[in-house]
Amino acid sequence: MSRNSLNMNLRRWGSNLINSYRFWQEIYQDFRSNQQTTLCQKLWAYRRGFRSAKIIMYGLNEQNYRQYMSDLDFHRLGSVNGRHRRWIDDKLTMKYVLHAFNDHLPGYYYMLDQGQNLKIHRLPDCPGEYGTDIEAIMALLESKGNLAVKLLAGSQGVGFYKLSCQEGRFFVNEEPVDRKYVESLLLGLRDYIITEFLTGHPTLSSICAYRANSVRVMTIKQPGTPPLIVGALMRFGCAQSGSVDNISAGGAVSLVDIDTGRFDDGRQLVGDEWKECSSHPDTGQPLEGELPFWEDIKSTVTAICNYLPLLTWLGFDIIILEQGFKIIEINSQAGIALHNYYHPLYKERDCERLFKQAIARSQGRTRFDSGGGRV
Amino acid sequence: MRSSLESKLKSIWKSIRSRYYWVGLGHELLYDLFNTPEMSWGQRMWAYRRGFLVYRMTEYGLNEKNYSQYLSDTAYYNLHPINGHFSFWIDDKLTMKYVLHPFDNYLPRYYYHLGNGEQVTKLMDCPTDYGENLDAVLALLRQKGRLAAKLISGSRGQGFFKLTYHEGQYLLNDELLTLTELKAFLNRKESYLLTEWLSSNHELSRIWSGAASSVRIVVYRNKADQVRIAGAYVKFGTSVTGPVDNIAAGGISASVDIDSGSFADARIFRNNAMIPVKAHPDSGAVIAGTLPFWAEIRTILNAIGNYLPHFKYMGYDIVIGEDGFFIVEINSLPAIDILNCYSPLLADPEVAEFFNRLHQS
Repeated sequence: MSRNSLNMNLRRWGSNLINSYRFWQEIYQDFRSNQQTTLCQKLWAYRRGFRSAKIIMYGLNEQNYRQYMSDLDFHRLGSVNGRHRRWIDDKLTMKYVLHAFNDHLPGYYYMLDQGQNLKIHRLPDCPGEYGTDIEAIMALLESKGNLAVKLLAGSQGVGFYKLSCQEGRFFVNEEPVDRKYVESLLLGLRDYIITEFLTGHPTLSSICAYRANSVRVMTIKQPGTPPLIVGALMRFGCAQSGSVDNISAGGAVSLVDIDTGRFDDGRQLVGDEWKECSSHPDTGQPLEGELPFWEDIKSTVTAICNYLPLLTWLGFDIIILEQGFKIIEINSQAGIALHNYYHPLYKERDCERLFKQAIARSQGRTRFDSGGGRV
Repeated sequence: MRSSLESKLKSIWKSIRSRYYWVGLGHELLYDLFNTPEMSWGQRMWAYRRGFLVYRMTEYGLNEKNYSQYLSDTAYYNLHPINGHFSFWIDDKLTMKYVLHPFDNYLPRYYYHLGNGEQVTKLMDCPTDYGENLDAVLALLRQKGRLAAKLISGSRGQGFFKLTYHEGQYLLNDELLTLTELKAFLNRKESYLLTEWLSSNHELSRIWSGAASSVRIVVYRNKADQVRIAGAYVKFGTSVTGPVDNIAAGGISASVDIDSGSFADARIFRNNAMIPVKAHPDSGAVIAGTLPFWAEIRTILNAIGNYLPHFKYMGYDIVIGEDGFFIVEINSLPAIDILNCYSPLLADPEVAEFFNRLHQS
């Protein structure tokens, strides 16, 4: 066995080990904390690769459980992108790797590098007249009005700040602060990027104007086959979720029809259950409508999947603007619980085949077992 | 006193944590132990105490008076990764291709990714009418005549192969092989890239045409954040190097004048020393001339430096063709021994300040 081959196998075993550990940790928590299922039900679910909470969430039984992607398969899906997931795991790498699609990426202005002393780098979209110090960033903020400050490898809204400057007054995440506070906040940040702040399309802003609303589009691509859009969700921020719209942070979500771009059937995650939420919790506006630029979004997402053929499973986070749309993040382990709930992912044979082939390849097997994952 | 001890402890701790430090330096140390029988234990102790491999004494001509002008091996390996978390942008040739998309005219064409057994994946420059299987790869080879197969993150010429199709016959590194053997070769377990084969400019191929004759250019970022060239040299292959031009494999180096792009002062690595040669040992051609497109190369390297502001240090490998040049590889910790042989790196105050800054950070 050559050194490279040994390295590759060690990396694969390591990745499988970490994923297994995380999975077993979830099973253990489910076993201890889920009071809604009996011991028999728990064992039944675990033997089929599910947490017992999914029995209630999906309405699982012996007849239908094969139609749903199990929690075990979802964990295995986390390693299907292999080492190339580094291209999308942090936002700066993603920006550079997807330069060919720069029109659909936000403007990146500054990077706050790691190190004891703050080192500020100008990024490709920073206007030429701005320097590389805090004063320059403040001047840019005054000029642009809003800036987004994001952790390089943050997800689920962690490490996100919205900086605003209106008529000489400064705000961080909509809270009024003074200039010195913003400066000291920036001085203390490491491994952050400063990008343009994106304001949503009026159709979506009419539902929720003061929070980011993003579309999550999930795709799967296998060698030799065209990319498949597996599902899409429209996510709305609300008072509970802060400046972000993540479902886990309390945001509301609507299912998007992949063919038409129409979204409806709003839901909100409460504990382990998807509660009906037909109107926005804060504004009362119905969570339904049609996504602007939907055909453009689908073709761009498909083009990106073809451009990065070594990435199998992608979850695009997209903000639709008045004049187009921008991809703010791509996740290599996008959650599938809501899709599984609405449209069981293994119900369609083609979709099941793509997922199982991808999982089998990442596990180092060439054939896939159609018998369903078992713990 | 305390801060000096603290920095020394920090440096030792960094070395312990760095896998690259132990793997890279360990590899060199093994070479050093088994290939320097002529060196005494006294000389070994003198070199190791100063952080150098013992064969550097003959390679650089090290002594008590001049050793401080040379960056020691332990100090250099300890710097890795100089570009931090982002080193993989350039260490991995496929990531480099994506990241340097605005400079795509200066990168070779990438056709296929091979790996994980029979898995063949089309890449961005593959013509649309070719499929994703080994037959399509062979069809492309027949159409192009020559292709390069490279390990996705190989360096020092490791995992580099020349594939040729000529008059109905397949060749691997200029050796005949059957279709079945070629298919077995292409069934790679590790990640390989199939890219276009680059031929070198006549100014370089007149000296040696068996390999690409690439130019190694090491750049760094000075205190004012400007991109500077620390040194450059051309690498010529020989009859023993095969399709690669690495000096360690038996290639020849020639120092490049940074201002004019002229190259001369050829040397070959023999008996742990860089021996001057006037003419190429196989072709007999005099090794001297001027690099074509030198001014453009400098402009583009500067532009790339500005495009990647968080990269402090890079070692470019550039192949100069008839109509332009191509960046085939960028190293995040390029070998510096050849540059040191031509001129001690730390003798240049700006370069010395750069490495000093890295050590302190």
